[in-house]
Amino acid sequence: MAGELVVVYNLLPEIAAKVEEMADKAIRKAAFEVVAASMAAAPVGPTGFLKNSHYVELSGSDGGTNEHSYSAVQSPQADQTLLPEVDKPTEKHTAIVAVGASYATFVEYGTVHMPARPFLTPAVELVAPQLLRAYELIFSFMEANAL
Amino acid sequence: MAVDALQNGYQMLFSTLHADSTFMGLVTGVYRYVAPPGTTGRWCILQHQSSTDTNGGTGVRLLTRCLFQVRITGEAEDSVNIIAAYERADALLQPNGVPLRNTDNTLSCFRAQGLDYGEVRQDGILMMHHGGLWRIEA
Repeated sequence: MAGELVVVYNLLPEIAAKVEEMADKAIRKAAFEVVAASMAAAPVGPTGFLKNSHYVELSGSDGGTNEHSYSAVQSPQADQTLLPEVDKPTEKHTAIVAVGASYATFVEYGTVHMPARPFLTPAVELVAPQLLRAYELIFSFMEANAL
Repeated sequence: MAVDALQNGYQMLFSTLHADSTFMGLVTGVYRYVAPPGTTGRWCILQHQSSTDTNGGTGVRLLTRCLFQVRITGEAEDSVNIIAAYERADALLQPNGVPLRNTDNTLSCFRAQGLDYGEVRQDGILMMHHGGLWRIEA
């Protein structure tokens, strides 16, 4: 019959799932790259607490693959304070990079007597363009598959 | 003219803020990194936070995107004036919410995010830091 559209294969659910998977991988990769860059740039004192208190919270299940979980953070010494764990993100494709050392803000942004020694902001600035590029590729994939 | 984008950024921030008598009446000074010992009242801190370059295919530097911290610091009990000082700085650096363009060898200036935190000084006085991270493209 003229004008009739017959769907033989419906691949849209598979492609949509693939897009979800790619987006999730991209955000996880970016989060762990931010952690790596930030840990590399963080000033290291005698205990290394600032550096070793970085952690990542991922949306959904991490499948036990998160090497930078809150439970893996270095234990604070007597004069140090570890801030409570941030809430797990509830939105899909979201990751939070956090630093548990209570004095991280003062190192990152400075105090009355001490200039800032930024470590997290430069890491985000470094990785953000890579994440945007990854999302551009995902959007290209979606266009190519008419999603 | 400095060719260093970071220096151009500092220069733009310093000159824009210093040129405004209202802002300078609200702070005791504008300082890079940290205020000199003994500084009192409320003051403005400028600090480079991060920068990334965009290069052409042949490695020619086309653009530098810097982030600068512009922060007013003072005793927390003076929060009304600290906020007023930062609002003035905000109005100077991004008038009516529109990026400041083509000033002191920079292309544009706009705020990327806000910043606000407290600090208990050694003498027990609560200090307030209020400002933002400013994107400067040069």
